[in-house]
Amino acid sequence: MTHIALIGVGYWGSNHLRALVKLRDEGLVTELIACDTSEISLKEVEKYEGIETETDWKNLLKDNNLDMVSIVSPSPMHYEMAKEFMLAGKDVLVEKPMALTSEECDDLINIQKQTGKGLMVGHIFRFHSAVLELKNMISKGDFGEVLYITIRRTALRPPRKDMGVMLALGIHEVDLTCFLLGDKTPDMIFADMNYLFDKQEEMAFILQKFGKTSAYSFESWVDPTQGKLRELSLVGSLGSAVIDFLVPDEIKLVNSFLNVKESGYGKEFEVVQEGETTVKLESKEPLLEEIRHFIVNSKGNRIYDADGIIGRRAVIMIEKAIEANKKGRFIEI
Amino acid sequence: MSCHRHLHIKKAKDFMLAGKDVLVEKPLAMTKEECKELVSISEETGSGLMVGHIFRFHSALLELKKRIELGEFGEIHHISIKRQTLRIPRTDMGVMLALGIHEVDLTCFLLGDKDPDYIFADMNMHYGKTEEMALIIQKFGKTTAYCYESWVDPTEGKLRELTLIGSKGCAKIDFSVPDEITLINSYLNVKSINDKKSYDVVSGGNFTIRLDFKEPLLEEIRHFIIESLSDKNYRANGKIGSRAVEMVEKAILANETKQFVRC
Repeated sequence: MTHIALIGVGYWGSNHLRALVKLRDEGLVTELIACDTSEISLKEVEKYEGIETETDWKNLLKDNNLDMVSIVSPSPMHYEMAKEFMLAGKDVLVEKPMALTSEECDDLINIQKQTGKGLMVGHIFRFHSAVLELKNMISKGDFGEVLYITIRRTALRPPRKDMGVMLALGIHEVDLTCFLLGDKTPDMIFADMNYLFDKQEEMAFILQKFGKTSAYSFESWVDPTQGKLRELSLVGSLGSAVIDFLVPDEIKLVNSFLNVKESGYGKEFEVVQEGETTVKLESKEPLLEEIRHFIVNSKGNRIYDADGIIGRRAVIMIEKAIEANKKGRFIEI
Repeated sequence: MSCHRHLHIKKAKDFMLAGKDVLVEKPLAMTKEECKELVSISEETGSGLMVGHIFRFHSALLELKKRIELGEFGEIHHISIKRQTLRIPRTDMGVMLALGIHEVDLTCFLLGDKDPDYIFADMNMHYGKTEEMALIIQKFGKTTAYCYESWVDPTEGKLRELTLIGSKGCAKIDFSVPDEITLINSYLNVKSINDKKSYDVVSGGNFTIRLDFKEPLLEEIRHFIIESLSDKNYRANGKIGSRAVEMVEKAILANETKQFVRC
């Protein structure tokens, strides 16, 4: 028996709802409650059968049948909700950013330890098939030494009012680069943030240094030149790869690299070009996999692939990146 | 003069002193001091000094510059240049001097020969004694230019692309096609009511402008000869060449000190 509540049925929450209904059809979820302060948002729930609704999340704290919650509310509410639900004995999946400051994240990690309840953060790219396979290939050494990772997430859309690209998009990038490199933490971070129209940055560039590996992330809400672009490219000493995040079941391998030979005259280089190949993977929806992982592990040992420590590190990296932008220099982590 | 760059200072100096007009390949010289010396010799002798900043003779860039000046793109938010391929790294210089020197100058050129306020660079060396990859940022007031230079990136084939993002429209140029510009007529229409902003996405579609085909190098040399025969007023004079070397020096300093350097 798994009773789960969804807190927040806005744009992203409605995707959670769809995924939760699918997991209910699979038998993993027994009962589903959807909670939102807006009656209009709760209309979304009428698409599906047998879902209870609630407008005050605090009423759910007293619901003894409730086992787990998925918090998809506006980011400023993440901290208080995650805290209260853990204290009420529920396992918590909270969307990224886990909280607004690293201090709030510390607090949530402490409460998690005290209560022994589950705390997972919605770093969805850790459940993206192409990212997972790429990580696997990196760890097997398929690309040799990883030299560069470049991520571009650009589109033309009205800027969000509640947060800029750093927290809305950059937080994905700073975590997923760490994840790909075996959950390494970068040595240093740098950012250049641009405020074109309002108080939230509409464009940002983030640079992470992991030893000799550099990761460059470009985030923009004002760039129509490539349509909606969400792309990762990885350059390694023995091969390269490209992922389109919108196509989670495909990786393009670019089997070209510089072959270096040491000779009596020093280093000699040769360009090796062995064409491109496409790896097809089983099609899996990242959000569905993320929520499935949360439910299955909440019933088990409560060890998650995106736990509170991971969520806190992402928030810390963003805080340091914002500091780097203000000071115009790299900040050590 | 297309000899090794170490020789630029001596040869350019000797030719100007011998009364000849000089076209010297970029980089003008090895250091900003050498560049300044060449500029003063040109002033003293009256001999012409031009630098081979070839992108100042690239039809698509000239057309783009004209359209920027006419205000077609509104305020310029970003310029992004990518110059990447997989090739054997040069041993005499890294991407900063081989490629970056083009970018740092052409961004200034596009923006009405403005100097940047700040410059930043991240340079990477995995293979040899010269950097094979670099990222350069230039800040011109509210306009930012990002340049990505790599000799070890095979993921897009041979890519040499510029994109420009403006408040009223965007454009894209493939440097290897000097007779074409793609205009992307999409932007955010921003309205401000009581200090609250609202946005409409204006999607005006893309179209390609065809220009007369002109080979940039031919135009550059033609300009040198014609100007040398008249008032020696070059589009890429010694001061321009000197500024480009100085910007690269500051970018290298930024990489070493891990922070933006004031220009």
